[in-house]
Amino acid sequence: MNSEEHVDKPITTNKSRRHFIAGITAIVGSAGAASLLGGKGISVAMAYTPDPNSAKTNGKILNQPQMAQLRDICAVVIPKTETLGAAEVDTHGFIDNQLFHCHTKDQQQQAVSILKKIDEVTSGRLNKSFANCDKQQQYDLLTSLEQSENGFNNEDKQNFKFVKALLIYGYYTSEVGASKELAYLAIPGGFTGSVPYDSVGKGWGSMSYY
Amino acid sequence: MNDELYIKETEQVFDAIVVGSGISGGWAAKEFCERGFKTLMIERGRVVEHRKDYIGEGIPPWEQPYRNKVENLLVEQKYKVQQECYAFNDSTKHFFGNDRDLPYTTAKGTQFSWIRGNQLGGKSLIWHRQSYRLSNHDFAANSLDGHGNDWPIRDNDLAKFYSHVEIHAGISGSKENLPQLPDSEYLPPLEMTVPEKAIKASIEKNYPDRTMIMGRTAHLTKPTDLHLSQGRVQCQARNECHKGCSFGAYFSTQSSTLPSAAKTGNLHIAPNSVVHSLIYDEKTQRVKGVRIIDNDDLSEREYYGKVVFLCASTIGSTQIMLNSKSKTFPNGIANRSGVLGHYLMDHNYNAFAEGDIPGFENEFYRGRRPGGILIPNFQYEPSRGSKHYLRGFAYSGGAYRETWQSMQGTDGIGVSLKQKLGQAGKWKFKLSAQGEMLPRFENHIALHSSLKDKWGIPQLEINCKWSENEMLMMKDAAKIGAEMLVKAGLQNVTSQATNRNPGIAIHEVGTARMGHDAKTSVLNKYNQCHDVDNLFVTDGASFCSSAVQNPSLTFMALTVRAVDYAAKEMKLGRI
Repeated sequence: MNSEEHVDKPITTNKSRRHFIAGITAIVGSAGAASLLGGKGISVAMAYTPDPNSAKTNGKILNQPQMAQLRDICAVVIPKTETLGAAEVDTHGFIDNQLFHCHTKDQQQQAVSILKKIDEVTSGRLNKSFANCDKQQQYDLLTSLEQSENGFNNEDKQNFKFVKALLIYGYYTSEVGASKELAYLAIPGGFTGSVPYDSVGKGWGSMSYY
Repeated sequence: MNDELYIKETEQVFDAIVVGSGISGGWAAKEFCERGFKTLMIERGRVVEHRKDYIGEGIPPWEQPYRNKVENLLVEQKYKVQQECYAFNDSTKHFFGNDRDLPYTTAKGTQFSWIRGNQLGGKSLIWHRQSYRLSNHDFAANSLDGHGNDWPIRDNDLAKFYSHVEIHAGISGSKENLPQLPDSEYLPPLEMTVPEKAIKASIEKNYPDRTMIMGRTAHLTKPTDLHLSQGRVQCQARNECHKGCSFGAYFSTQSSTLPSAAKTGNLHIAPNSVVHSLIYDEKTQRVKGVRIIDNDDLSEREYYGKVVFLCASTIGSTQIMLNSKSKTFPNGIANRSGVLGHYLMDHNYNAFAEGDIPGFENEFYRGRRPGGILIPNFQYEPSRGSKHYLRGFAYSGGAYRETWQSMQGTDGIGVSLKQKLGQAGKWKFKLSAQGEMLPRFENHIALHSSLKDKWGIPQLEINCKWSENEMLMMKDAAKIGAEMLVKAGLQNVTSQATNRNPGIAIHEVGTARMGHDAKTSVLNKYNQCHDVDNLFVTDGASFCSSAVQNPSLTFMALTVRAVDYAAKEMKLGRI
């Protein structure tokens, strides 16, 4: 199976939602909980829905080759390990959508220009596009970029930092990132000031503010 | 709640009219209703029903349209000012005012961030829930250094009313016997983390005049039978309070005061009713009601009452008074003194210090604590103050382990990056100063000479800026904060004084101050207008000084005390 076909679909019956419903039901009864939850205004349908084919089509800001390039960048920056990586949960599609809706024209331009620069440097050095490089070559290119060397300057590094921050944001707020890679507690039930780190073993994916 | 609760047209003369439904208005309504007074609560915005209308609650980020960020166009068109508030995001934006409909101007060379919460419940839905009593040092501060007028009350005037509201609202905290921060009636405090306990010990050892305590919050850490009877249960430590809380675990109008008021059968609410002005009767020299412009269709109507309580927010209440002009009061009702609109204050949140805490690698916490630590003001009387500026500041803050969010700018790619971001990072600790702002006549609000809002009400021009005193204090707060952290063994300590606008602390107070002297104040010691017996202002507008404490608990206590007084006076026929 092609890795692109693994996508992080919003699942309305996810664990956190069940916990929330259980907690509310305990207070207001099941009829109350049903009406309470039925009244929720921000619908799942409005959320950006991961699309297995987003790298194969034009985005809202990026064209198709740029989407494919960004997918590869996602795969290199946060790869698949025991959990899915950023490419598998369509972080590239998220980035394009988020740039369009929640970022300035300048920031959109920052993203487009660094993708162009990466391809320019790649073709100068390896005589092919970034998307046609193997994983090791892609890793080395992005490492050079982070170190502002081998054809990349400090402005490139800063532009990449912006895209990478958005990539990290997209991955760790996805269902896989927040609740599989990290530990997610929708309703902690109270605050405990001291627990052994070992008992959790990873960072909390559930946060107060995203 | 039922349909009869909400009214629009009525000829009824109510025993009491309460303008506003936030922290102060909710208390005024509850106290009047429980005393058997037929009460009308007037709210300019829409109805927000407990639970049902908390539309952003309980939704994980991946099910949100933009993962809790707010769309560009919406920010540009509706929330240019509101988005400056830390609590503004996609899950809470419906509890913030629409800037396009709520214009105001600022005087040349000044800026003021006016954060609005115009709906049933007001800003009680989106407040930060920190709850502190004022002390006698705070009440005396103006008289000791000559800035502003003396508060006409002291701790013993307010203590039993503080207790009354604390028991009902539910305040978590620890008994500390501090002269500058009197104890409340407490539920158990939130827990400190282990590194916080270590920093507390260091500060108290190195600085005998200072202490670090757990912040006091209006959260049900351990609900009493009274709270359970209100339909409220224990705080679940989600710390997503600004979205609304179906557990009723923090104090809001909806969770706490409104159910009590509604239960009496004496409460009516007029939502979508923007108060244009008060109706003053020249013959009786009393207020007989309020003029309303409908929020939606802009039609006009009036409501009548025997006594009027303004609880419309500090700036909102004063705006109504300034716009209530009559033959007797050409410059705003109850404004013979000429100080109405003046002495606007906010808290100054313009310094921080932070650093890394070495060690504690196997320490962690569970849950999201809805509050942090507090270092109470240690310059609480002139003899303890700085030689370079007047008054003092407190610090709030806390320790946390770094997350992917705080490490978003970190270098590295690939498996090693993913491993790093998947783990909790270093322990960090941050202190943020909250400083007192001196009361100054120059800092004021006034009706704009020509601009009006969509309801035909003159817009406000706000003229407010930090003085030299506030700026010197913040520089010192940054320096002192850093010194304490270095002494506590923190590494990579940085600190800074910043330059954020007044208003952004959302602790605006003053503009219709209390005082003994009718020539220099608007309200007497019971929050009653010197010039109009049946008009009271019990929100932040009544403050004589800002102190350093978060002010909401004092709004509650002042309001209850004023209702207690007004009700007795009305029964005696003196109002």
